[in-house]
Amino acid sequence: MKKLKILLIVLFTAGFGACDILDGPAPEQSLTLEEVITNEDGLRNLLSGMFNTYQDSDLGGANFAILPDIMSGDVSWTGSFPSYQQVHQFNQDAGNGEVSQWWSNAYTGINTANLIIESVGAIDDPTFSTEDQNDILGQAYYIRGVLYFELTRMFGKRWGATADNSHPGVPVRTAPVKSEPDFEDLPRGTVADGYTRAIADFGEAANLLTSSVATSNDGFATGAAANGYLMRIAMAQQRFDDAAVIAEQILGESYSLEGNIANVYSESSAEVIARVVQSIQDNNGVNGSLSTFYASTSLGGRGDAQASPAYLAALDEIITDSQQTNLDALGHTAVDDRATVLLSGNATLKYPDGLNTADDTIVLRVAEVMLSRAEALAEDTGLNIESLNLLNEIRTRSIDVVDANGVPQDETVIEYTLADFATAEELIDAILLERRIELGFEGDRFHTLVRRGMDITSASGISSTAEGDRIVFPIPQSEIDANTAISEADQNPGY
Amino acid sequence: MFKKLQMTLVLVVMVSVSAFAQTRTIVGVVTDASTGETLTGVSIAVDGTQRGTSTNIDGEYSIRASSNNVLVFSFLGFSKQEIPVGNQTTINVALDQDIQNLDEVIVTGYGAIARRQITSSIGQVSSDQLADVSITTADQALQGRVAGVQITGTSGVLGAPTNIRIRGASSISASTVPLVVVDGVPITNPAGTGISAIGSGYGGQGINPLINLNPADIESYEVLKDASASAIYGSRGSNGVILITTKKGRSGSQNVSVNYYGGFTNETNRYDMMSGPEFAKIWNDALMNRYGQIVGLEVPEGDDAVSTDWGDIVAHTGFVQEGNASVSGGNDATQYYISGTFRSEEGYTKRNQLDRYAARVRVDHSVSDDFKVGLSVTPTRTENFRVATSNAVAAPFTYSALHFPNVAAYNEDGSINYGVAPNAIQVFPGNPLGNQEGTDFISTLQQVVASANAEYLINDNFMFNTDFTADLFQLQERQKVGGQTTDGFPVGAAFASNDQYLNYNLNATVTYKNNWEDNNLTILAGTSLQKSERTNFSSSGNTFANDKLKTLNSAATITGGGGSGASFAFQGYLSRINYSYKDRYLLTVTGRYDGSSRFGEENRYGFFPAASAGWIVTDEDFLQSDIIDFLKLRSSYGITGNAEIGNFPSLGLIGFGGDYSGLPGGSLSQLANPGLKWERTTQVDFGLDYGFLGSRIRGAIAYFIKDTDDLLLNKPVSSVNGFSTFTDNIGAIKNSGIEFDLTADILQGSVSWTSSFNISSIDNEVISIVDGQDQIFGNNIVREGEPLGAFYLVRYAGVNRENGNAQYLDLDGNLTDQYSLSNRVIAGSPFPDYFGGFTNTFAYKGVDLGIFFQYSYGNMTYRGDGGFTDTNLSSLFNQSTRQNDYWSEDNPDAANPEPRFLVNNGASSSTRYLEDASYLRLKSLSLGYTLPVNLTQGYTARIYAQGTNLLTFTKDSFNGLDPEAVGAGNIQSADVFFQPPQQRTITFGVNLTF
Repeated sequence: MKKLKILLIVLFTAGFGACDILDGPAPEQSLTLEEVITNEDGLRNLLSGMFNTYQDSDLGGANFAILPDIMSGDVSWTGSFPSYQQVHQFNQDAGNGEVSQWWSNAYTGINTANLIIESVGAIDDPTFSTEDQNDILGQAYYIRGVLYFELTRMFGKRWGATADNSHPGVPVRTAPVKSEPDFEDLPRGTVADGYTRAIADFGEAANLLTSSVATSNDGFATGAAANGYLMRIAMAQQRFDDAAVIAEQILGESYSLEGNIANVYSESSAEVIARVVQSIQDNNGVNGSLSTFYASTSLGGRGDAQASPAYLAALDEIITDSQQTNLDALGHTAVDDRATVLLSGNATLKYPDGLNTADDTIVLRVAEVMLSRAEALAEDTGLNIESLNLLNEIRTRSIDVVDANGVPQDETVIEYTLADFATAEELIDAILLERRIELGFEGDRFHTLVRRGMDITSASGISSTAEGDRIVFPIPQSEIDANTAISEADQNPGY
Repeated sequence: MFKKLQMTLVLVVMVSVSAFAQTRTIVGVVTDASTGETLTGVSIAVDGTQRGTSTNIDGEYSIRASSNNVLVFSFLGFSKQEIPVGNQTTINVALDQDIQNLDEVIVTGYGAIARRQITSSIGQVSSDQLADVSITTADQALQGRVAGVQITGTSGVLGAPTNIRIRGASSISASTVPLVVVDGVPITNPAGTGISAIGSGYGGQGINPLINLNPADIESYEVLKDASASAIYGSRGSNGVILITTKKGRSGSQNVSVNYYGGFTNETNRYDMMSGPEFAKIWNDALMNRYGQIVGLEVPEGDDAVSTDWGDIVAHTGFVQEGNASVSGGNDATQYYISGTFRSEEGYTKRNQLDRYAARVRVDHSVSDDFKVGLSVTPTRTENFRVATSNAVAAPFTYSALHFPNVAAYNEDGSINYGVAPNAIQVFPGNPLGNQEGTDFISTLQQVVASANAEYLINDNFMFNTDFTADLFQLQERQKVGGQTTDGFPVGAAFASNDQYLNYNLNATVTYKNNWEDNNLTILAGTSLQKSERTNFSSSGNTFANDKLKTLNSAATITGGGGSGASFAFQGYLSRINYSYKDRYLLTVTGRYDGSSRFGEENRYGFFPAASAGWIVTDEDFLQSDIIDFLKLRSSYGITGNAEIGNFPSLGLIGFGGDYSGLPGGSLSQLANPGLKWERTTQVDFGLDYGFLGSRIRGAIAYFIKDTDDLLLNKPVSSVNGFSTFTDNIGAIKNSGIEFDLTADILQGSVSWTSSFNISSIDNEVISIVDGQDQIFGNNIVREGEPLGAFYLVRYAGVNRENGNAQYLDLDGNLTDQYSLSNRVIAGSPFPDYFGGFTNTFAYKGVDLGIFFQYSYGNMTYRGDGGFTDTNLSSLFNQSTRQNDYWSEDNPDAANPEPRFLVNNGASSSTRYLEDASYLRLKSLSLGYTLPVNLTQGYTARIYAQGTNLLTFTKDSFNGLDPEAVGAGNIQSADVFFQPPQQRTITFGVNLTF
């Protein structure tokens, strides 16, 4: 009896130890690489994950637009975040969080793109159609192009700062990191390397992707969007003939200028070629959304970033003196929707959803393509009627002429004629003014000033030339610390 | 390996089945030698066996033993006596009182051992040392009490977690908090990172996971410090182990105890911020300095400008009370303990409240002489009405310091003024008062711990023990922010979440005990299983019709929802051998073969061995002295692990949940490392336990070296790879130090005075990290040869007298106006040079007085909030009154640089905000009076007054809110940001015992 009891106890003590409970727990919110990279669905998941990275506040969700804006002089910054305040004053240091996150998150997105590009051809799945393969590849090339372009133009000096563009840009990596042995410390490439990479990627994307308004409004890449970036690059490289050709090609797609500019900012706009989608359930929250910074406190934003006195002054110049004289003679008034419908006090109304922080970022739209073609044609061919017509089309869309009773009147009085311009430069100035107003708060002005080599005066009062040190972001200190191929000596000048 | 262990176990059990002897019943009475009164509950054991009993209410006992047996009589506070049975059938014993409690039984993992037999470093705190101190969570009780154990409060809001370190910080990225084991069951955390905070951080550090553990039910704390003590917990022993033992009933007379106290809470400190007129002046001056002309942003100045002290408005004097009643007792067969406790506490911040309802039932029953069972059930409910802390606009303590003072808090009709300040730039909607009044955040924690155990005496030598515990824990959080709050503006928002944890634990051990001649042997072998599962779901919404509507059903827009699950398991095979020769040469060998679901495929199990030896020198003939009456030398060596490395750190994973445009998205979240395992600590310990002058002076000295390697490091990699870090077992860290404690009974007799002092000095050094490369985290650096998280900052050098610029030192020590991160240097250590506590207790007739100080010296704190409050208005927040002294041409010797509106002049991270946080704190003071027995007739009654955190002494250069405050994480633990300071409490109470 005693022995039996002992036996039972021994069996109990040792026995329950024998059941292996260690294999039970498994991740519930994650899958392994092998489980995901097996079929088209898995690659589509990675694709959404890549766009999710791009959607982040540090990249396409906010900073790609707002950081250049608060440097441009057209937007003043009064918010409490020191990182933004520093950028506003060209006073960012190598530890600046916005700058560091721009860098590291961009490379996170690039790695996913690299992984997708490598994996598409490697999947053995007869049901994976060529169309689907092209779509997935094209989307990945597009995002990689966007990220290299945004890295190169913020962490390197402008195109043309050296004759052969051999001045420092960013490291270029196209092979994915899937496991530890893939790690590599890469040195900085040149600005030429970055542009070359971006041009190649956008070229691939433009070939592989189709274009539709619906795809654009879903927040994914189209051939037109890829071409839009090729156009921007051509403008930055002062290849105006190429830029004009690409712009014309884009304008031939199914996108169209909205009749009412307020509709541009709806989620179903026909004008938007590229956007970063945010939704009520999926957005960057109250500390990193465009509406957080741009929307006034009455809309639930913080009103940190507002139209600067310089922007408001430029808005007053939209109607020229001679046009005003003509208006006065008729007893009519010009009302610019961009100063009324889209502006309340000093706060833009382009991102009004302070409550849910679900506003999309408008990345590229028809108006920019038209203004770019107008500018490129004027650069390339001098004074010309097409540039003039494109410019007037943008103007009349937003500017209404009304009589004393508010009844709409003929708008030709505020249209430009060729007689208004003595030289192509005067026409280009008018196009640039229009562009400044039209694309305000959409992240354009700073880059336009830089690519045209114009001086920049931040609304903080700090000035720089287009090739100044402090308008180039520093290589993040964390990168210099971790990367053996980039040392303090490789830091951008001025830091 | 596993198979082998099973075999050993079987063999050990089989060998001894045959030893039986002729026994008879022995009876007797046990008395106190000094008073002659009978003693109840004295334990009587048959030496070398596991057979035992205890005396009843009349001091009587009865036990079966044979003539060659020795009976061992032991009782808390009395010296042990051993009496050979021989041919006696009645053995009456008178026990002597024992000051040093050498025979007191100390709880160790999976067992207990007499104090004199201990060969490892174990610190003990018993409940009578902690009685009546008003503490919110049980871990606060240990603060300053045990040498080598550093405990600091993370913040002064109710239910805040504490930061506990035993013998230094021995990890960089895994947890540094010890394993906490309550009645044999490891407390688990959903995040898999030890007992750090749970629930919503709410700007700060979440909720203390011990919030539901009722301090009134705790009998003792044992802190296992060295490897020999903690190796029995294997892969979870590296950070040390805190064993908490709860109260149980004793046979004997029924004991009814009723305790109550009530009192007040206040903050220990508050920032002195500018008044309205002061702020208006610096504001206007800053504008003029920046623009050189009137720009229209100026505000009304002068003494009649509006002035609001927001700190006064969000704070108040809180009320705290706790009532506790317990009944315990029993007879030879059955013992019980029943208690109930109610605590209601208001913090010093308005709307911060904690209510706890705790009950506990424990029953132990002897089914037969050989077989005992026990059951305990502990249901607890805590409702915590929370306030945000630290880096949140919703945090009353933070925002009240930062908000513009030149705006009224109330309208003339007494309603809250939501109007904006005259300052044309308003940073956020809402104000501190509106945020506080408009926010409801309630965390409700409900927990039931049910535990059953059985003890079976197989024969004289073999004892079998098993226990099973299920711990069901539910945390529900509900938040509603009204339409006039910063976070809820303009239509209100709500958030709700529910976490449920199920944690079960099963232990089974066999203990073999035998002695022959002068040899004494105990062998323990067993297994332990633990599994923990967590599920969570949450939802959020906004757009409420009315601020009075609080639940998500009334939200017009549901803005988010989520759900997640996580689980982990541990499985261990453990053994411990205690051997002593002549009761003076002591040896302990411990081992645990431990596995976890957290470890990589290639390293699923690890073996953690330890050995220790002790020598009681005073038992030797050559050291018989009137002065030295106890001296034990001891030493230990062993290996333990730290498994608090997250749940699946070894797998290559694609994490889901990062979606886009309504389509499910996955991203590479973690790269595979199949060899990933626990961090490993090798510890050597040398100790000396001493007692002088009849043990009126007693204590211990210990020296330890704790080498931790295989550190789990998130090694920074070039971000160009798509990852900023990679997790691997690399790196090493070393803690070495000295611990000293001393207790002296300075006066005995009618006036008694006992003084206890402890001091520890720990050197922390990073031995190796990846490629010797510095890792920088904010203001802190991990660099070989430096302490973990040493401060790495640009040196601030005051004001340039010529132009009012802030100036700094460059690497060569030259002054420069240019701030550059490349000028950072090692600027200080976050660790104290030494720390400890000092207690004095006095008694005279019925009066008792207790004074307890806690101290820390030489640790630096980075005051991140200084970058907001002391910036000469570089950013648009109210400034501390220190900032009234700023540079101007008329005041060139000012302490602060020139204010320039929205221009950073000295506000970047630098040694300007690095401060020496050495302190001496009067942690508790109590004065009590026990009513004379002839007055109270049979019951005892004591009344007392008690205070906590009454006085704090810091260096003059320290400007922070609380020198105890700690930040988040291991490396930035001394980087603080508006952590609300500890609360001061003053309570008055009564203890009644019937």
